[in-house]
Amino acid sequence: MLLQIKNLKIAYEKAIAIKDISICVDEGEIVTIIGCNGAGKSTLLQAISGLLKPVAGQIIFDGKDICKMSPQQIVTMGIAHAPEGRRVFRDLSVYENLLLGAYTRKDKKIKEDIERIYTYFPRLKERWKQRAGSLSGGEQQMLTIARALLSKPRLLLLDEPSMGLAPFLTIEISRIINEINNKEKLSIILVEQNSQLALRISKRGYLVETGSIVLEGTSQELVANDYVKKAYLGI
Amino acid sequence: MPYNALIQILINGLVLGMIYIFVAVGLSVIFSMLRLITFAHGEMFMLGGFATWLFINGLGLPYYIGLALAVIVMFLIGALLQLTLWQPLQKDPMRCLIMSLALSSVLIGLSNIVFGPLDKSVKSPITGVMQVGNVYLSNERIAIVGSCLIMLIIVIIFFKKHKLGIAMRAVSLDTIAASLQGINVKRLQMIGFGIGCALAAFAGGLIGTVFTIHPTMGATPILKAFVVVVLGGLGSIPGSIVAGLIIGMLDSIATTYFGSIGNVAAYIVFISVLLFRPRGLMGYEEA
Ligand SMILES: Nc1ncnc2c1ncn2[C@@H]1O[C@H](COP(=O)(O)OP(=O)(O)OP(=O)(O)O)[C@@H](O)[C@H]1O
Ligand SMILES: [Mg+2]
Repeated sequence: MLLQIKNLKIAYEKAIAIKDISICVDEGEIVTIIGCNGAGKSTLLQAISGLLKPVAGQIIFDGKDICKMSPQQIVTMGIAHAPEGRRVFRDLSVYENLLLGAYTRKDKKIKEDIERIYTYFPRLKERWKQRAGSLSGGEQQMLTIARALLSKPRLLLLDEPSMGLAPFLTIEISRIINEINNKEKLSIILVEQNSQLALRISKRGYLVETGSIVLEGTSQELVANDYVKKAYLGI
Repeated sequence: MPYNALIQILINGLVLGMIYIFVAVGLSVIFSMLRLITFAHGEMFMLGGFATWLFINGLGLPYYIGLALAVIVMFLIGALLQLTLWQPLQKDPMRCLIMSLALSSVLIGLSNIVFGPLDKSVKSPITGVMQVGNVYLSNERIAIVGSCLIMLIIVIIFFKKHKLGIAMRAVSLDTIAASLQGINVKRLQMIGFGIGCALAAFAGGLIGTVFTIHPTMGATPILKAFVVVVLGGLGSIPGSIVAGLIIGMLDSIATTYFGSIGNVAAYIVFISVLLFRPRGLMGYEEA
């Protein structure tokens, strides 16, 4: 078990965003978390990457409880977070963005690694000198994922990578996510509102509604579930 | 118009411009990394002057070593001030502002007690004049402009090429995304504050040979530096450089012809530019 979250509870100043969530992620698998606006998906990812501190519960990564760790320590442990809304460094170049993805690394292979990551995202290579803010939405999403990969994570957190993208780009991104999962041997937690897409590329999934998990299972089971069909897949 | 006089005015303008640039770039770095405006920055300039004077006139160190030490000491003092005074108040910009005003008065008062109100001047390592054609240039002023250019290039290369500099630019763009890359945002903000103070101190130390060092010497440069920062565009280093040169030249020309009332020329230009271009000469439009 790479990641195990037990009875997690998270509150913002006024409201409880996550009531009681337990999930687990195995080595090498893609796990998806689906749910509508405000369900608590991003909050959960922010807790894993150390931006939010839980009120109760445990987040165990690689056998260690990471709840009290800082985001820096967590990146070094091997968790990378490609946040919602992309958040590329707009006034930095594509290449500088990628360099910062490798900020915590001390090894000398960063340049080679950037070249290797370019093979997934050839368009970033063409635009390496360009201001990140001048990239298209799809390219910025690719940059966010590429930047996260450069920390050499064992667990990658992807928050709504398909948000605001044209359908053909959504398919392109999901193909790349699959390829990364196969070749880089890492686990992925994929948060999506596009449930159809998410369930297609993941092995297992959790359905979150107002801060609790209401359903979990393999992706096939979820796709076949009547409630999921009606409420989330529109079939 | 005597050719020689014109050259003297230009050289003086360059010296003034460089001073404004360093105080302004320091303010700019602090503003972009911490979203913080500090009125105590003129006092960092002043303390840089006194530190240089202490090291050179007091301890008898060679000029450039004394200056370098003063810059390093002011970097440390700046970082320490950020850690102890600003960091606890960081969530509240208004308190930060008031605190910086208080700090400014305290530092001026303390300097008056410790160093006395009398003008001091730093022993210059370079003297004499240089003759180019039939124009005489002061070696000292040329050395000041040259030192400033070298320092500016170092600063620009640091922010463009060094990993830490790039990370600091990232912090100024998005602190959350920066933390997610494993950047220790708080520590870099502390370093950024230190660098800002060190740059002001560098300017304060350098002018100790041509102007005088005294407890209130920071008052005018900080006002002019605010003009430069806003005129150049908040947070833009190239903008601060261009604006600094413009204001320096203006000051030099206007005060030569109109005496001290000439100082208002800079403010007139400043207000006129902002009427037409509120984001300054080189500021980005908010995305
Ligand atoms: N910074 C915040 N302060 C206060 N409440 C917040 C904050 N961020 C989120 N919330 C609340 O927490 C709950 C969960 O929000 P969260 O962003 O995790 O939802 P989400 O599932 O990611 O939604 P979306 O699909 O729209 O991104 C919501 O009710 C939201 O209003
Ligand atoms: Mg979200």
